[in-house]
Amino acid sequence: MIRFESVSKVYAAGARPALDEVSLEIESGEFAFLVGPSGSGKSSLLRLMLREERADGGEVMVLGSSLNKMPSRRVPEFRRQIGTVFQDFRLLPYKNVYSNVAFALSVLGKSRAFIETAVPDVLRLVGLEDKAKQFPRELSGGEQQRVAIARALANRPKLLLADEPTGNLDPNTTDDIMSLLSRINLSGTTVVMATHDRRIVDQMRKRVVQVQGGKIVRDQKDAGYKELPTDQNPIVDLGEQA
Amino acid sequence: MKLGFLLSEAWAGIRSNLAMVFAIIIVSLVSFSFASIAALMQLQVSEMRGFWFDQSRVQVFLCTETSADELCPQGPVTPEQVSAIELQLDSPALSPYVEGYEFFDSEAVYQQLLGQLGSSDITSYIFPQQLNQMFSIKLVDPADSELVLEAVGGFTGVEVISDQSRYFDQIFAFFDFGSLLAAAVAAVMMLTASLLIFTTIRLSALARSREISIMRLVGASATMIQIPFLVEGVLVTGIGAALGGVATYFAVGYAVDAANEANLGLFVFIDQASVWPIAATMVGLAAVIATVASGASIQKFLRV
Repeated sequence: MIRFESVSKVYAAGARPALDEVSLEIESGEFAFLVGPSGSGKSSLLRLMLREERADGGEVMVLGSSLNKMPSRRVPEFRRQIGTVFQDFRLLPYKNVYSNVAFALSVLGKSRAFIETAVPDVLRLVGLEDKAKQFPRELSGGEQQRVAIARALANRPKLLLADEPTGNLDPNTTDDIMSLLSRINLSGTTVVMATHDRRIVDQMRKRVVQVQGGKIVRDQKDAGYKELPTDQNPIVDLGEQA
Repeated sequence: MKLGFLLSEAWAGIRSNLAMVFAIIIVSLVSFSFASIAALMQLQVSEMRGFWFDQSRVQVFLCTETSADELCPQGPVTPEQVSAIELQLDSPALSPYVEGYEFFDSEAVYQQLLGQLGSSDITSYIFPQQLNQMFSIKLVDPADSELVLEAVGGFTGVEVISDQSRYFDQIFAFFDFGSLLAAAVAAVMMLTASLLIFTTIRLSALARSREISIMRLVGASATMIQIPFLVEGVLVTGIGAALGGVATYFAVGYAVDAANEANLGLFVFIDQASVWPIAATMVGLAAVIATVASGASIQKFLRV
């Protein structure tokens, strides 16, 4: 599903690389946390997976496509297979819940019949079927994030990328969202989630890819969060290596 | 992308930028009105030129007994000299340029003159022998009149050659200048309209940067993202150009009535119906300008 081979990314000439020779493989159907402090390289990994950035070195393969060689005109088609969720929800304030989700399908030219079936389905999946006519300002943070997840899932993606989706939510709402993401993963969608939240990582016991200083310092299945000293050398737990 | 969605997105852009949209409509209205006026003036000049050139002749006046000595030192034209001029007009060198010609002797010229003057008292002072015999030559292209002047001007018995098409040069020059002036104003206004469209669409894109980022994330192509903005630009500029067409329609109606009432002796070949094909062309031109300006404006937001 996702394969990074010795991937490097440098944003400014002479600066420390955001990613330094990173290698990583995530199989189809997995749920993987990307953890690490701010600036460690988690978001860079997600941006490379989404082909928002190109790697400066190495090879990035996502959904069978080599993203380094992918021409810009093919990127939109590639992104239609991926759903994305962010910390700040990125909803359109003047559209109601239904229209926010339908927007993602309308811009892809989906038929009205498809939209009228797909949107209620996905709103039911995220538990918002009775809030279709409400506007984002009328919803709680958790509900807004559910709308964002519904929008990400509307086109039935194979891969869901989530960048700190619970960053703005209280613990109870966070648990709801994590439960939702877990159900989505169980239905076959691969989920890659960047987070700071050690509580949910410990609670979920999923694969944890820990990034620090642009390197993967830990990659462990069924793991919890583990604080590492800042000068920590890369550790891969071979016994439970992913 | 479905039409309904496309139009709703374009409408959202228009609503978010109403003041600039009105500015574009007004500037487009003025610029495309000027462009239409320039085109109409050219149409009028072209029709006038065709009409008057069709009527115009090169007239070769031949010497009479009363001609001045310096113009006709050999005295009045002789039949042999008339035949020589006819031969020259029929010659292979000149005939391709001559559509036809007529010879009028003094009596024929006198009768023509009587017809023009009617019962005026002046006719009692005019006699046939005072009037020049003449060749009235119609050229294939009146612009070739110099050829006739060179070919026939040196013949003995020719007093003076008059090219009627030259009478219209000044009036055509006046219309040409007016048309050029209108075109120059139109060009400046169109440039202004293009810059306004560029800025407005850029503002509209900035106001909808969240929509654009969502479009990019869900996999909308660059074309899908930019089409609503192009539609917005084309729609607004098109409305301005169409209103310019309507304004020109009424302006032409007023100007034609005024010209006819003033009885300027000018033939007016344009009417209100002439405006529609030009207005349609202007709306098309507006669409092209708006597409280019909007497309250039939105490029920055399309990088994947």
